[in-house]
Amino acid sequence: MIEVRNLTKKFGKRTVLNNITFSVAEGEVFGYLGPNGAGKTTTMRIILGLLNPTSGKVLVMGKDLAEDDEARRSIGVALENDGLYEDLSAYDNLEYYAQLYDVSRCKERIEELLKFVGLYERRNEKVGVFSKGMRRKLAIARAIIHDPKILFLDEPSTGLDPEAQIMVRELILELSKERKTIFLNSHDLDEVQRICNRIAILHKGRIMVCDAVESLRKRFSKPMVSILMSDEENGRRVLEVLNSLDFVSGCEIKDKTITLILKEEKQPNLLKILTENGIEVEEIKKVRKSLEDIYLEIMQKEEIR
Amino acid sequence: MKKEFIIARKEMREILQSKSSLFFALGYPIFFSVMTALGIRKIPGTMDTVIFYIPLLIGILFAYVSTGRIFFREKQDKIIETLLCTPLSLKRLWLGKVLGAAIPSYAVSIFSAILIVLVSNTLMKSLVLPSPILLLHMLITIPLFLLVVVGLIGFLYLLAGMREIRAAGTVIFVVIFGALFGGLRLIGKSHISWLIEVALMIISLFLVILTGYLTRYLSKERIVTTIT
Repeated sequence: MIEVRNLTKKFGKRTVLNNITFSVAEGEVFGYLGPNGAGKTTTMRIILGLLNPTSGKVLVMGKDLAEDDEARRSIGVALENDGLYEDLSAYDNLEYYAQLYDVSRCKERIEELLKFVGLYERRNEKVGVFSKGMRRKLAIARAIIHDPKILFLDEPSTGLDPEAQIMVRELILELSKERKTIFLNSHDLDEVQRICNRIAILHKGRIMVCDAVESLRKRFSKPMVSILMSDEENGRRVLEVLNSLDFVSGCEIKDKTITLILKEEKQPNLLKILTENGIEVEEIKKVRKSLEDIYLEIMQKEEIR
Repeated sequence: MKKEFIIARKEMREILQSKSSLFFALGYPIFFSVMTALGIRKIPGTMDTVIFYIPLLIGILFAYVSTGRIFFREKQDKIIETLLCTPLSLKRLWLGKVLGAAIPSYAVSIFSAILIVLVSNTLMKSLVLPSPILLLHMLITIPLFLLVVVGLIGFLYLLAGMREIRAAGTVIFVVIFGALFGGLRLIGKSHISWLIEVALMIISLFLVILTGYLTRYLSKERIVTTIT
């Protein structure tokens, strides 16, 4: 659906994007991550045809959105700034865009969307009085008014309170169920982790990694197990036992918790081994690296380089 | 043209909802019509000159204010970015907005002309009507001039950085105003002839074409990079 090939963007002598390549498949929720100033918004603007690439090619459904006006019918956008008219009501804001996109059965579609985002009761109020969360929901409703195949969302939950963040996140998840392709610009790792199938991490205009979230976890973390002991005093003896196991590559102890780094994902029954050695365990669980850990690891490696 | 009128209608609706715009649209024509009608009563035969200048002046003033509202605010609030992602071309978007500011400005202009005639006739207690030249002026020259003013200011607002925008608008306003009234002063301020009117109409038509031509220099990249 979206293809970015060898994209470079320079503003004067400053290179903002440096030869980036990635693609987004149909129905995918693609997270485009990176710190502020990494080039996320610039990438999105180039894909949307708002900026021209210095070199490289960007195609959306095989078309260049900058050249092909009609091709822009297949996309919906909710940029970081909501782009709503404060002096118009929620209904009028949607009606304006519905008319620009030639939406058929306009009234029904607007009402359906206002109900979908939970703003039907406040449809006649001016947007100027809306909270940030309500505005963001309305911006998303506006973005899908013409039922686009691809949705571009730029920092959809930035500046929202936790409740509004959850509301927006649920809205995006609902849209992903409708098999819409979603391109999500964000620096909210938790949000991306919950919503996206695949991510790309951008840093200083370069793509550091581009993969499925699960694959990244496998790539960046060795299998780990956390053991919560019932008795802290046994710690030293437990460490001795664990270090003697051939499938363990290392372990750390902190208070009553031991973290084991395993050589392979599959391991013999650890609980059985521990109980056989007279070690009482309260809890034993697999530890998964969060996207935040992976992200920070990549960023640190890059800074060191 | 359907989409251009959708944009224009939205802009006009916002203008109508704005108290300051309404105050301007009603207040200035009333004030100027009363003031000038008093002048017409004192100096008979000046109706044509007044109708020639005042409605155009009020129209240009209103166009200047409306254009700022339509183009500057949308750029400042970054709404323009979302609009640029719709299937409309940049030129059609520009045209829709130009119509959205020019149509109400023209309405204000016509309103002020009607008021001047009505108030002067009421004060003079006799029927004095403007000459037929002014019909051409009101129907063709004024709308063309308003399109030029709105079009050029809108063009500059889209092209210029946020800091330069105000200066750019003022420059265009002063240049058009200066050229129009300075030129007429040279010809003779109280002498409105067919020749002057036709010349003015041709100039305004040329400026409309020139403004339309200039829009090819508009680019989305320029607009987006001058937002912040």
